[in-house]
Amino acid sequence: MIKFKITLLVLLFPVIAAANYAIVGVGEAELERDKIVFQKTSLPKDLTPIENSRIKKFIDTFKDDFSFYVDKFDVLDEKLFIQSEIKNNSDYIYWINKKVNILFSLRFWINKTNVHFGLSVYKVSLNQKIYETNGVIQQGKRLTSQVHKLADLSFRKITGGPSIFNSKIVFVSDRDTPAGNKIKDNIKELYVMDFNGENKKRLTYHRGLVISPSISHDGTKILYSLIKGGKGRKNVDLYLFDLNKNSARLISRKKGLNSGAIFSRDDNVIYLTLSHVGNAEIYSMSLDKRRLRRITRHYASDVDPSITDDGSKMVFLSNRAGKAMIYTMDPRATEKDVRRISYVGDYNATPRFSPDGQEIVFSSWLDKRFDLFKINPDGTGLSRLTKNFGSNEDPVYSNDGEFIAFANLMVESMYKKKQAIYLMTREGKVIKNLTQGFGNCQGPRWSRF
Amino acid sequence: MTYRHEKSLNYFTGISFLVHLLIFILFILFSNLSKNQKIEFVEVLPAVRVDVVAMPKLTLQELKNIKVGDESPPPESKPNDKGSGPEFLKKGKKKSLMDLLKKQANKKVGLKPSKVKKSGKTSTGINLSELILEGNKISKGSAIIGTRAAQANTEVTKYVSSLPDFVRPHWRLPSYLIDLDLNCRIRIFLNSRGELIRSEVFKSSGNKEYDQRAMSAIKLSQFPDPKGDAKDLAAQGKIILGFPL
Repeated sequence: MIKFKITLLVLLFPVIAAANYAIVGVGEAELERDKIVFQKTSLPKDLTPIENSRIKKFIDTFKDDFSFYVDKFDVLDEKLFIQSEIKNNSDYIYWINKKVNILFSLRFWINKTNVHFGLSVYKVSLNQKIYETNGVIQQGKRLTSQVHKLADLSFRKITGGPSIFNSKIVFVSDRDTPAGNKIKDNIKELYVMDFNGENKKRLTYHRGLVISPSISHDGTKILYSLIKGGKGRKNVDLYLFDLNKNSARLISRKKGLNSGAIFSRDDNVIYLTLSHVGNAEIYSMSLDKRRLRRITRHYASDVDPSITDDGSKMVFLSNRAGKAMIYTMDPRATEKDVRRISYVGDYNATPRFSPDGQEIVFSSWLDKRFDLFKINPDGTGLSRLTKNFGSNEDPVYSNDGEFIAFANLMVESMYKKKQAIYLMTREGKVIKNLTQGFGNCQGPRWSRF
Repeated sequence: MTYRHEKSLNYFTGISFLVHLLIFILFILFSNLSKNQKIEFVEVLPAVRVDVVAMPKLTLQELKNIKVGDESPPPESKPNDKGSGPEFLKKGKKKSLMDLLKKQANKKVGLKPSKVKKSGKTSTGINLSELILEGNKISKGSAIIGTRAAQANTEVTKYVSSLPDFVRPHWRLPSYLIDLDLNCRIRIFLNSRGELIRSEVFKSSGNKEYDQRAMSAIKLSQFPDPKGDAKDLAAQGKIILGFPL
């Protein structure tokens, strides 16, 4: 398209030139990763080891946060630059020559027993200070939370958009199931963690199999399904966990499936799969009065709904073509504008919309394993994200759409397997294992704030 | 004679009767046969075009690496490289009737005010959309062969259309600007050696940093020597570079 436009301009050029001015298009710019430096401009002497470690943790968390954006930023080590050559805190000429565009200038001082910080963010190319703040460095978990907030504010000043730094990921894990438990594979509980895998916290104690968690847009509630063997009854029931009250309540226990539930944009309605009528169909349910509205009506099974923020489009999985394929439809009425968008793949699963509704990521069975792919909602632009990296399922976009979290399964032997949650860019560049050494984890769902 | 005539008439009438009877019987027979045939209904469904016949084997990362490997390196913008640029036709020194014709030719593509869309003026007071709109007009030619006006035009075209190749290696944006769909235009003034005398924002994108990065890309570029008509155009600052268009 760009080449076409350039060609067009070149073709039009002779005529344009006749009007005395000659305009020619240079074309689209290449992406340049912004070089970032975190510079300690003042550090108090005689710091205690605790104060020193807090300052180190403060800076390292800042650096780590920005390092996640591998396609946007190149976080450089301060030691690469000779401090004596820098004239002042914002020596633009020096940093321009070093091709550094974003400069974080950090000052620290001690007041009574508190360690204070002063943060200034400079956009070197503009010769401009774009953000400034100061405060007292917090302790423990509050320190990381404090830095994530500061990093997010700085990120917003630099890019104009939100970051992932304040976001959370919910997932299920068998981490706390006693070793040697014969039914270990059937016990997984609900957990929540920061976007970078830190601050993991267990939420449920069902001693059952928790599946398909989903977090509300306001970040206060989590929907999940529970499979728990009872006396004469084994059903897939739907629960709602309230993060403010730290408690769960039953939402739906109709016969069969009550699963794959997600929130609407206003968090008042949920979309879920129910099978009480015979085969699996997708319904919407009001959370206050539990009023049901049928969205799909087909003899085939319809599962795994994902809805755009404006509620005008739903993507789901159906075997109405004979095998599991991806379909889109308007969820505001029953069977409205149903359209098949995938025509290949032996078995496709878990289609999820990106936050802007422009892409759908899903997993597909290929070469005896699941791999991740993405496709446009109109069925075009099918592209592959993972390959030769175990079996990959359950993809979900980050709140800003720049990353995808997914469950990765590595089979080491007939009896040994490891399932972990990984993070990658939306282009498929794997960044980090978020649940290393935390049991077998799956079903990641990203918060939307 | 009459008897023989009557005989032949009866004979042919009988033959005709038999033939018609045969046709009638056959018609009845076929109509009965066709009644016994099964009628098949074919449901006509809208056709679906499927371009993808298998899941992609290569990942996006692998495709990117292939693309990067295939790309020829961008032209190095060294001062000594000026000679390596495209060669331009030499301009005739004397003004002649052909030059006057060239001016006339230029006038022919002049803008008709009634067809111009309203748009914002540039910082230099020139309506940019007018310039672009002129490109959408085709004037009927009056000569069978090209004149020198056309040749001069080609000369300028060749020079100006070569400039993006020298700027593009330096035209880079961070991710937070690349997705904003901005557009700015920079006016450049070049001397006869292709050196940048000055540059100014002809039409701002509205984003200071974007404009500044476009200006920086121009400053880092080494342009080829303008030749012929292009020399005047470059010296008078009548070349405008669009970022991206």
